[in-house]
Amino acid sequence: MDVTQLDTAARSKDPVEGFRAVAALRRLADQLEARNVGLARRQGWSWEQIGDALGVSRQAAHKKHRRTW
Amino acid sequence: MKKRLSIDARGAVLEAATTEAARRGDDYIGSEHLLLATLARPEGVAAAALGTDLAAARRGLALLDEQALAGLGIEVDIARFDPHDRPRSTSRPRFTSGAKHVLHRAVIEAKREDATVITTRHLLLGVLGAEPPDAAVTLLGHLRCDLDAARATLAPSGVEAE
Repeated sequence: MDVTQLDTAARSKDPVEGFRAVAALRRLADQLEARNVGLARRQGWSWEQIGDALGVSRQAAHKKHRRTW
Repeated sequence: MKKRLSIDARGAVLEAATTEAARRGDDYIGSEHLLLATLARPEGVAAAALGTDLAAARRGLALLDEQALAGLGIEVDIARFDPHDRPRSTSRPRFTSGAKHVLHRAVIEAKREDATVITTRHLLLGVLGAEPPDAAVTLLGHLRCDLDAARATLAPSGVEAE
């Protein structure tokens, strides 16, 4: 284990670090979701198919992303 | 006596904070965005007091995110994600309580000086009044800013122009 890894291991006990990771993951997940909804819509996917892929209802997928696409 | 024309910086700083949040893809306005916003102001008062600049602070915030994810074994280049790729919200971003405290402290700082308007300097003093684990304080620590020195620089006697 090198210095960087030790440093990382020590920091991972820190909730500041943990919450930051949570917030970053949420943000990146949202961005990834929106990007792929856009791709899917342009490729002719229905909102039902998109909802199924995301594990949500057609209505939920549409409601969340209709303003973007 | 030199006459100084100060205008209230709140509107401009809040607008800049909203821009900084959108730039990152954050759907809220936190103290860290207010910090970036004070650094974005053309007066340069924040950059001079903190010994850093907007570009470095933006990079620092992204780096903190990447470090936190690296702690989980996730290697990711945040810059590869497009912040505009996200569901558009119709409502304005909400303020975290940390951000509200910054604004409140800025008002108190101005009152203490009998100032008639809230300047960028007051807003930065509001940011500097926060305590860990506040997001702006975390970022300032990461940037190795000397907060005591910054507060001294920002004290009314230490500032010529705002």
